Amino acid sequence: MTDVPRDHPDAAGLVAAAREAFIREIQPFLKDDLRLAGLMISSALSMAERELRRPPAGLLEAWPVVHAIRAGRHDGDPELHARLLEDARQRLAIANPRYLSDRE
Amino acid sequence: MSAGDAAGTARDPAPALARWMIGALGARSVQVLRMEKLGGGAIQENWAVDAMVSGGARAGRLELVLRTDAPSRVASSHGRAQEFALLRAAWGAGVRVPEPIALEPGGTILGKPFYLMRRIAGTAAAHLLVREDRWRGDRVELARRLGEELARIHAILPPGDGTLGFLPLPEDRPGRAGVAALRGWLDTYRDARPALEWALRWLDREAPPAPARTCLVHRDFRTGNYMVDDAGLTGILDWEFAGWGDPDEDIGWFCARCWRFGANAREAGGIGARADFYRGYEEASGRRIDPAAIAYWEVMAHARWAVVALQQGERHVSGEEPSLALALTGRRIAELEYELLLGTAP
Repeated sequence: MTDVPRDHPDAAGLVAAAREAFIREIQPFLKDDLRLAGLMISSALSMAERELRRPPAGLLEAWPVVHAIRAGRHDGDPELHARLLEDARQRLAIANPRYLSDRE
Repeated sequence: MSAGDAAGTARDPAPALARWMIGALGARSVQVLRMEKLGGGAIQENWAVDAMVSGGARAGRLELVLRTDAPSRVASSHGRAQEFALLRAAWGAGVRVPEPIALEPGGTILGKPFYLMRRIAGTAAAHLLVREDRWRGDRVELARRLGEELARIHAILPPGDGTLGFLPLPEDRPGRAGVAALRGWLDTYRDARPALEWALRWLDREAPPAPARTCLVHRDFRTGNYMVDDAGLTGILDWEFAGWGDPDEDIGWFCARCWRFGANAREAGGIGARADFYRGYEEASGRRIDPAAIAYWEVMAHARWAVVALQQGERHVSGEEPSLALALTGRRIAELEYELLLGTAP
């Protein structure tokens, strides 16, 4: 694909390896309050891996869009609504893919 | 003790608390038997306090909660003195709340204001209450009862009992006032949030007219903010956001999907059926609920939650209070903006 030499595993691969090791080797030993902390840690690592593997495209020129929305220039605008929904969908696929699949 | 000390970290605060309680309770002597920090409460700190009181109207063993400020606060919440006044107004109106006992507004005892209320039994843990296998109480009755309690809160009308003068009356339609407040915070935020702005514009345009009867609105009436034991509801908590407004705001907040804790089929707070909750409310208030108005306030609920998620995430990102829980709450913005867009489709 590319001529630029890269060291492996890449950032996503490292995060994934850290999460797998955490889940397999540490999480089973966590009790009480630490179990919740463990769930949060594995959740954050999963989220980071998903974002590294597929960063959201992002909306261009968010500030002008915001000013136009507030000024009423996009009231009932189906085209903007569709773009915003697609952007939110991409971010939700990173933050909470199960929520997205339950809802769609 | 310096103003920055949390109760109990640098020096045992129990003796000072006991001395203050003698005067506050009109007692002959007070012994603080136990003082222990309780979990939860991103905005407040709660301490379990057990005391033995001799003399006065409160003589005997008192099991209390001491409520004071956490290291950082959400800007829109009331101080402890105001919260105490709200609790007293609710208690006086017959709302099921922990009995308010005494207020220390000056901050001279613990380095920050606090108040005492009677400790109530049960759990407020939302993730337990919404799960069938962990809580086998009567969901029909709990939903009905919560509707009834909410109607009692909404029976408190301005100016209240004379101690609620600090609450401003809405000058505009409550929906528009809500939008203005959320936009005001967004203006201080680093990033543009187009999806949230889209929803705020919709909320501004669709805002219902001012209610026929402006009343006390709890503004955080949801699963997680009331206590339940095996026998049912034991108390409504967390009065720090209450104010005058539109009663439908509380109904929408309670039923909004973002407060069902994953139990989405039970539309009343993840714990019961919407119909049971509405029935309890309508029977107690004598007012018919308009589903279209509630749908508006459910969108508003997601907008408010979205701003809170950004605020909580920012507490972590700014370095003010590094916390994985706050960081993950910040990332809930995606789910909230997604819901906002579904709820405001053209």
